[in-house]
Amino acid sequence: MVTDMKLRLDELAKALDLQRDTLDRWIRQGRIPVKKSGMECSFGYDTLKNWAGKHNTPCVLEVPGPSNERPLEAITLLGALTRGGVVYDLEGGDVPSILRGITDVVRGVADGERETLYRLLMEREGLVSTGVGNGVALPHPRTPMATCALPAITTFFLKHPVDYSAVDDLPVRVLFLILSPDVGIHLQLLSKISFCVRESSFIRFLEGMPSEADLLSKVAEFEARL
Amino acid sequence: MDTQLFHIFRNTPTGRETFLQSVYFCTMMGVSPVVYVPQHTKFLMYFEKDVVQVDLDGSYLSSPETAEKHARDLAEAEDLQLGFFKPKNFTASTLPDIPVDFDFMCCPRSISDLTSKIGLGYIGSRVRRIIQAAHFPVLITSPSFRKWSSVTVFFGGSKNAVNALRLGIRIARKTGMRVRLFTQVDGGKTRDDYEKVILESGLGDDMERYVDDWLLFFGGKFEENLYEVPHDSLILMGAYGHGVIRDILFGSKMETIQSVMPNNLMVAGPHYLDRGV
Amino acid sequence: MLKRLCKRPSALPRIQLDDRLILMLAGVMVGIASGLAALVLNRSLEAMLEFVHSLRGHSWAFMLPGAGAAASAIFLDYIMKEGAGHGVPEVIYSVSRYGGLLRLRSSISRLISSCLTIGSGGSAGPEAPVVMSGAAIGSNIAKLFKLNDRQRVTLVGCGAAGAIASIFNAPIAGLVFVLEVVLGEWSTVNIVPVAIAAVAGTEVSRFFNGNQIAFSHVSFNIGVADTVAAVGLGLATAIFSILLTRALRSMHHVSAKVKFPVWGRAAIGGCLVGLLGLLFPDVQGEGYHAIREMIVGDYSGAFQVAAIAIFAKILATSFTLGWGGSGGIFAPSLVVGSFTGLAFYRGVTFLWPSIPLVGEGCFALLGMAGLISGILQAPLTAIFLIVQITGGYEVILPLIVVSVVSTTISHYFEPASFYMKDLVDRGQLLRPGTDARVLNDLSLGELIEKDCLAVTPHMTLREFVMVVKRSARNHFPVEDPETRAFLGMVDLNKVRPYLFDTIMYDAVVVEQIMDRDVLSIAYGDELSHILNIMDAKGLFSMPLVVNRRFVGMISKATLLDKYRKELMVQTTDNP
Repeated sequence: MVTDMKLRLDELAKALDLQRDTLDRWIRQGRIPVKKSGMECSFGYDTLKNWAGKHNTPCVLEVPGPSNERPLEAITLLGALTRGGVVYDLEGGDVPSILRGITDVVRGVADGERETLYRLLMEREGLVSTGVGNGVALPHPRTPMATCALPAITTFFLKHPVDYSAVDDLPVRVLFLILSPDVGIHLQLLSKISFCVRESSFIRFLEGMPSEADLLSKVAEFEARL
Repeated sequence: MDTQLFHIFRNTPTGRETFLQSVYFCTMMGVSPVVYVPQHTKFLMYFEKDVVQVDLDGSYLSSPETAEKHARDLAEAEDLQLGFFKPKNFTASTLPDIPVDFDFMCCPRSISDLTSKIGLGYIGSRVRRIIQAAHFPVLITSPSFRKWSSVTVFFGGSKNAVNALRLGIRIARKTGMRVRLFTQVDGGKTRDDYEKVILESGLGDDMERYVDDWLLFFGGKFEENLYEVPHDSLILMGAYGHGVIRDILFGSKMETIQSVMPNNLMVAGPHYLDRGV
Repeated sequence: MLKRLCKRPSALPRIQLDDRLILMLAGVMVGIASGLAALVLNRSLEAMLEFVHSLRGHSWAFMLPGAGAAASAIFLDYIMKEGAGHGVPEVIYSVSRYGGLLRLRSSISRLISSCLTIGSGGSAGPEAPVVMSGAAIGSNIAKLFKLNDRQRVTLVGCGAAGAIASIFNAPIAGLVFVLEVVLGEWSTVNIVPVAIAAVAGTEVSRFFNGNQIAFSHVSFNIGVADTVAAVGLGLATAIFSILLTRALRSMHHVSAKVKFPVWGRAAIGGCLVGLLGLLFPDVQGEGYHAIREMIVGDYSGAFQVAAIAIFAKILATSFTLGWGGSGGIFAPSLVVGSFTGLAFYRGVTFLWPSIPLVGEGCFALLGMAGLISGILQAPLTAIFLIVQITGGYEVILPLIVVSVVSTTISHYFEPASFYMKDLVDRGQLLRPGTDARVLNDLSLGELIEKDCLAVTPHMTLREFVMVVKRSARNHFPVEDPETRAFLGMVDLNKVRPYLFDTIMYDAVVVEQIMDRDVLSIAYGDELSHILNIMDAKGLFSMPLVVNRRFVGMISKATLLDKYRKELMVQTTDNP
């Protein structure tokens, strides 16, 4: 079935990822099955789709109808921390026991997945410690978790400082577990949280073991500065 | 930023007046002039769907040795950078091709050979064909240099009149001048009918921002009503579309305006396109 | 059944006016129109030649070609205001650069002017004017239907095909000529409408003239000796093609030095032809009459006469065309070719009387093919033309040999054919799908990348690094903060070491790390020229600067992307 469509020239140029000038010229030269009338152009949807396939051109055209596009939520540190929540007084004397404790209580992970997560975290720590200094560690799996739909960061305050073989050899008191659906988001979050923990004022703030609400408002304040 | 006005330079006193008009337009609009000093009396313009041959009269070729200097002096007096166009492509050895990707073009009231003999005030058939085919508007200058300080759009509600209005708003945006509309109401139309056309073209906001006066005439002779247009206003109008009969009508109206009004005239054709947006 | 159909018209198969159908219908129209144009020119030429012939006796008869040529120059220059030329190159130029846009006036101007030149006795051919006129008719019909460039080019081809087909009563020759010489592209989209137009043009000529073959049909009995001799003839025709090409060209230069108005020059050339015509009457006019005589074997002159006639015809043609007469080169080539063939035959049979050659008529035909192949460098056109105007395939073997030998040798000395020489010299022969065409079609505006972030000369390196963070590109134009004038560029590749040196962050300003003499591009620069600069200097991108302002970057990476798309779009057939 041929669906005839009408679009403005610049809209079509965008859909085909072409410069407006190129599209104009191709229509004039008759190289593309599109007809022009003033600022608008008309074409058969299937014909054009077929043409685009043959010419290695992307063709992102919506068939006329209701659009079902989901607006993308911006990735914020605040959002991720809110989703992850805060855990206080985590028990444990060494890295494996702490990671075990983390995986047992973290939210949003199915019970069957906890063992996998533990293994991934251990694997990552085996590579090089995630203790970034100043008593903070950022444990995370190397590859994104397929089951994790939205990025989340869980904050853990340890009961006793633990030797984490951090870069500055200081014992670790706070951990941020980062779980994200893809690498890009992961890097963004990592970069944002690193920015926070580099600041000495933030470290001092963490030492006071703040409440969840205080922590979130402090992070919001920092994120605004980024 | 890189908009250009194409001017065919005539190295005569009349040609100087025309060129001064171009220079004035360029300074007002921040456009850079591109000057062609013809070496042949003929040239071709290959438009999208038409090829137009323009035959200049012999006066365009007079004293070529001083032409470039004269043009440069006039432009530099206004602190304008001038580009000279040298034809690269020739259809035949004495027939250069002129590109058509300029943003404006300046024509004296007639640039064609034959028509100039009929009457100085006549808008040549070539100019008309250029307007019909080009995406740029054509500035038809007054016989002698005159400044303008406002813009008057002749708005008759047609598609090309909308183009003229777009052009007027474009000029207003650049120069900060006010736009005045002139409408000779025909038939039983009301102001609402015209406003509807403007709103449908998506010009409602611009209309509010830039247009501050609307001369609507529900009666009276067109020629007499033209008196209301200030003497120092740039007149903008749209050319009519296709069709022989409408062409004749279009001729008569445009011809009336240009024979009655000494003002500068700028005409937008059916393919008018603002590449700046 | 019929009643039922009439009641429900929607059940009838709806004829959809699909683009191809439109092209075919328009092709028929154009073919008929250009066929008629050819016919009109042919008829009026005959009438005029007859009239002029009756004036032969007078002592001032030699001035007739001069008067005719002057009249045609005046007509073209002052009435039609059209630059002179013989038409076919202009058609090729317009096809390759402007989608076949031609002026309406071209559809009659050349017909009349060439009629004046040739009819009065000038030595030129009516083919090129007819091709020009047919092409202009096609172009303007396309304009009427508001067709796009591609379709317009096809219709231009239709016009040319119809004209050639009609004038020679040879549809395949018309088709092949158009594809080989005018369009330079063999695609199905073109072939079908052009073939239809060729048929229409031929039918027009047959309707009015009867199915007579342009030169009467004689059957030949070809032997091996003829095919071998064809090699020698190929050589001879190649020499004369080169001679004719160069004579025309140098005559142009000579006449350009004479400070006379165009019509005055044309008159001189015409009178010279008239004088030459007193000695060799055969060199005047388009020369079809002489060709007919030679093919039938009626030509009376001896070997020497034929050999001198070759030179006389070459001279007459270059006098006519080189001095401003109007007409084409096609018919004179045929005449020179047939003289060459005849002289070659007489020469060979004189030296080795025992060799069993087929006959001088056949060699005249072969010579024609050789000249057309050599001058136009279009061997297929030559082969199909001769096959069709003789109406038989007996000559095909020696015909191929002559054409191939002649084309090859002429190509060696004259790399571009007569029609294309000027275009090639100016770099304007843009055949579809070639590098030159792709580069010509892409404009700077389509390639420009405007997402570069500008920096100012007084920025510190620290601030600059912040800009680098936000940018997706490796190049940063440096602009004057007040006037926004372009000062230079910072190339990330060159300053990379400093970027990681935090000590330098506040010590260095952009001014110190920027390149001041950057090669820049201006609007109107040809893409091929820009690429040459990039290659020569080892650059991968260059800034476009207009009026001292930075506009954007042109980079090879983007260019390749667009180039490839363009090439694909140009070389695949579209529905």
